[in-house]
Amino acid sequence: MSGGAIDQVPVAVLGAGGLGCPALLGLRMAGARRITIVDHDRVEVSNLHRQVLYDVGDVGAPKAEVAAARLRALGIDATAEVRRLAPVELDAWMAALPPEAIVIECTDVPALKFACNDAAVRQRRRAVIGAALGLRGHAIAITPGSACYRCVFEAPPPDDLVPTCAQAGVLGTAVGVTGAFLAHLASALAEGQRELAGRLFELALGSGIIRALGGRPRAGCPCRPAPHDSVSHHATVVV
Amino acid sequence: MATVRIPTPLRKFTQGKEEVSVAGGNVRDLLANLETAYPGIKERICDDAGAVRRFVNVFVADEDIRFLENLDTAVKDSDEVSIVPAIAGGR
Repeated sequence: MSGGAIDQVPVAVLGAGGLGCPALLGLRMAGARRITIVDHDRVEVSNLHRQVLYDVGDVGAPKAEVAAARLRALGIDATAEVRRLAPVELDAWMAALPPEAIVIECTDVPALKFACNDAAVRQRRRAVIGAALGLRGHAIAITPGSACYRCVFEAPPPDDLVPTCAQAGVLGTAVGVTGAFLAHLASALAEGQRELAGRLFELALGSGIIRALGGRPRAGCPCRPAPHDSVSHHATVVV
Repeated sequence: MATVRIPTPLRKFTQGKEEVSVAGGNVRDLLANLETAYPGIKERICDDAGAVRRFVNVFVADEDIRFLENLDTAVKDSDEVSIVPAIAGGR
């Protein structure tokens, strides 16, 4: 059974860890058929409880390759890119994707999330960006004309002020719920639904509440065309 | 008093509480009172000039204060104030 428009567009997933695994499974449930998985990391025993595409036999293997093989076994045209993608490489990497592709950012690197946002804005592409920490998840879908990640957060946090999952902990179900929600947002974008785009969804698992915050493009954000520039879409960004 | 939602990284200042009740007629006063009750928390939200840090956002009743009156945004006792920093986890 077709899952809808998501089966017609290629999807690229950055990060095949705690968020990426449930996002990939969510894409499968939504009906995606072409998926590229980018990750440089290898499977570790400590990953297995929440990175549910892997088992003990995969320990030491590249996550992208294992995840792609799992999806291929399920009938999905999945390819792996085993590489560490630096923020400065995001723009060129994204430019090589088909124009209709949707990118889902699932890494734990703040600068990559902002670089993904900036590249998507510059190239007028659709993207979904997620994060999870403790009992909380964040998810935002962006599409040309919508508010973007920088409309909500102007800049990435300094490294010394942003706790990692290793420092603050993360509940396996928090990344699971958030990852599946990222796939849902990608599916909604593929369907052409704009009403979910541009809002920061905060999934508060402690209270069981999903809040849709903001949603309006911020004046002065690089995603907004300058008043004198109604055609091109310049975005000079300082991270 | 308004209900302030505390994000995971800042709960070490609130003894682990996810929500706290804080008085304040506007966001500026509310943050000052939050600091009085939970010392050290404000510098994680605001920079040295007193402005909300660029990687943090404050929402009053789910509205971004930058689209309202920023730190002068009025806060009612019935309001929920969410402090939302960018988070990075996902591994």
